[in-house]
Amino acid sequence: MTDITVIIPLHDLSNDYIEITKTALDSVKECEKNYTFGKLIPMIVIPQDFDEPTFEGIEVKYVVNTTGKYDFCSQVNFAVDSVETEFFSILECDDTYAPKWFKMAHDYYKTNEDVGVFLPVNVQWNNGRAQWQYNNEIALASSFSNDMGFIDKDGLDVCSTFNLTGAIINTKDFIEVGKYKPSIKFAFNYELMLRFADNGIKMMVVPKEGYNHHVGRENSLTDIYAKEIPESEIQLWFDLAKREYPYKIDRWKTIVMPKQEQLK
Amino acid sequence: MAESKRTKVLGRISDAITNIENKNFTMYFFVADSKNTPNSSMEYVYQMALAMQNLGYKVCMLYQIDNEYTEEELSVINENNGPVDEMRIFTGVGEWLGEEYANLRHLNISLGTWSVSPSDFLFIPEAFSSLMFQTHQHKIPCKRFVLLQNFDYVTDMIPYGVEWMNYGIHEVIASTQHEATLIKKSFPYVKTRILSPCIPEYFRMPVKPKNLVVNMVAKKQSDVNRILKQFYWQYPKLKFVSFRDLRNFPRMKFAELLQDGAITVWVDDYTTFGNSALEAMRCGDIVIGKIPENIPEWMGDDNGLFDNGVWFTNVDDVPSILANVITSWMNDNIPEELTEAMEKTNSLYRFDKWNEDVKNLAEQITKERVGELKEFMLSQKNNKEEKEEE
Repeated sequence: MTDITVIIPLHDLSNDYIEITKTALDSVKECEKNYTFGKLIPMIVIPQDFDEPTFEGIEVKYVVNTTGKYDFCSQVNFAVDSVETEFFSILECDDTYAPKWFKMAHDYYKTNEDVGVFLPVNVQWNNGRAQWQYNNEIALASSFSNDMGFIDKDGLDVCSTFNLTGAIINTKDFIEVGKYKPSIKFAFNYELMLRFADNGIKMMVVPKEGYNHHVGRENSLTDIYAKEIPESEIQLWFDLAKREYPYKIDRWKTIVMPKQEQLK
Repeated sequence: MAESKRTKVLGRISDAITNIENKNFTMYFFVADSKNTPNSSMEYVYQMALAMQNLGYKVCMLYQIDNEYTEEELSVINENNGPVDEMRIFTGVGEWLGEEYANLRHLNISLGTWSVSPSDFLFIPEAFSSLMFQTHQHKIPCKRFVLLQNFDYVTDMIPYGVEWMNYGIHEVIASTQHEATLIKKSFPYVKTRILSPCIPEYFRMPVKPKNLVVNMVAKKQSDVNRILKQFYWQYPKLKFVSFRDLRNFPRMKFAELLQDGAITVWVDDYTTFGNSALEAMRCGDIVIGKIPENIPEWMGDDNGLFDNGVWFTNVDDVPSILANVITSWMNDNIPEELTEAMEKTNSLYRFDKWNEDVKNLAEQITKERVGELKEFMLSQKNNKEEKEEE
């Protein structure tokens, strides 16, 4: 683990987005001060037909997505093809890294070189940063798995809410298991993690706060999903993830709503 | 008749001097059977004995079990699957301290086969007032030292109206200056030496980075419950944090668990030295510790407490302290003052220093013993000459 690419998917280049992206990039700069093992390379992936935004004080690599698909998963998948580093990480434009995340993760990488995915403990903030809660932290509970911090298939049976943003992911592993499946709404992280586990790729949660995740921002992916997907559908997406993970390719299956009679 | 006795005694003393000079004598250490329960006081005695043996001295651990099973008796019991009276077996320290210590020579003094000469040395832990009394009563000819690690044991075990002078005890090896000062206040006639304990080298920084586990080292289960439950109630967001009660683990395993965890909560009101806190620090743990009744020398001085741990007085404050320390640890924001002070403390009580101290102690006490014996011989000769002149 030396240089690490930081993929920032942008689907909107309005001023608001540029502003929050600046904050996200500033957090990368802060991380770089503490990370002495290589460079952090910000890579912003933007939709075709948009002008490249400029960010002062930081060198950014731009990737123009020409696929016509600009959802989160498609943007990341497209960007990964341009990643030249052994590991990459995903930073949502409204989130920030903790200043020492990459340094702290490297401490754990040194004795866990066979691990393909290093997840941070995410700190999830609401709008206004008044309330917070942790995410990914459950893997650190001694009762979660035999090997503290590691996420395996048994662990994924118990918990499906892990989040891969901020995680440091082995590029080759990500490509080999088939990348994200954009068709799996809501449960795409879970489905990918099931695939990682199924393909023997080790995942561990580093017991450090590494990522500040903004929850509930208007027009964010989670906000859109929350508006689009009714509560009753959510579990069905996770069920679909459980059915689809054995396949490396996205088969574009969709959920089947049970009939009310069957439910009764 | 008296003359022949005097000659015999002088001959024996002369032999003793030669034996000491040739290291042909035994250092005896009296121990209690720990029954596989780790005990830092007993570890100190065993460490001292092993260090002496490694320096080339003959060493023997003494214990006292009346009616101890013989090997034959035990084999008969085993053959018949009969009940075993554990009190008639010396269990020793093999399981918690290691084979190296268990393999030191051991002898049950109840067997009546123990014999000593003026060249030998006997080290008696402070709790064994009865042995001090018995060895004084039977005028055993060896040199006796009391190993003082906890003054409480002295006051607990000695009968009212008796003091060490009544047992002929004049030499003390104390583990801390504090204990030495305390004993001097009560028994000003004793000569004290300090032999600071040693933290074994297997308490060291781990190779692997730490897990977010909080180790609990507390004498009372009620303290563990009080801290742990209040913590989970007050900080439900931190309910993923695991606690581990480190009680009665073999020493190596104890070290391994300290290395695995990130933080150690230490509650021991009556400790005199605080081995566990030092051991945790050596393993790189942040120590959140209750200030003991007697503050150990590594924890503070006249100017106050050092920054080598996070110190508290009230157990009910621990949940909030713990939450802060955990959050700092999860962000790699442990204050530099703390880590630097920990490093400084970790440079103390090293094995090399201990070995050197034990070597110096052994040389000092043997030299002094030779001096005493020579003086005794001289006084006997002078007495004889005086009588002849008369």
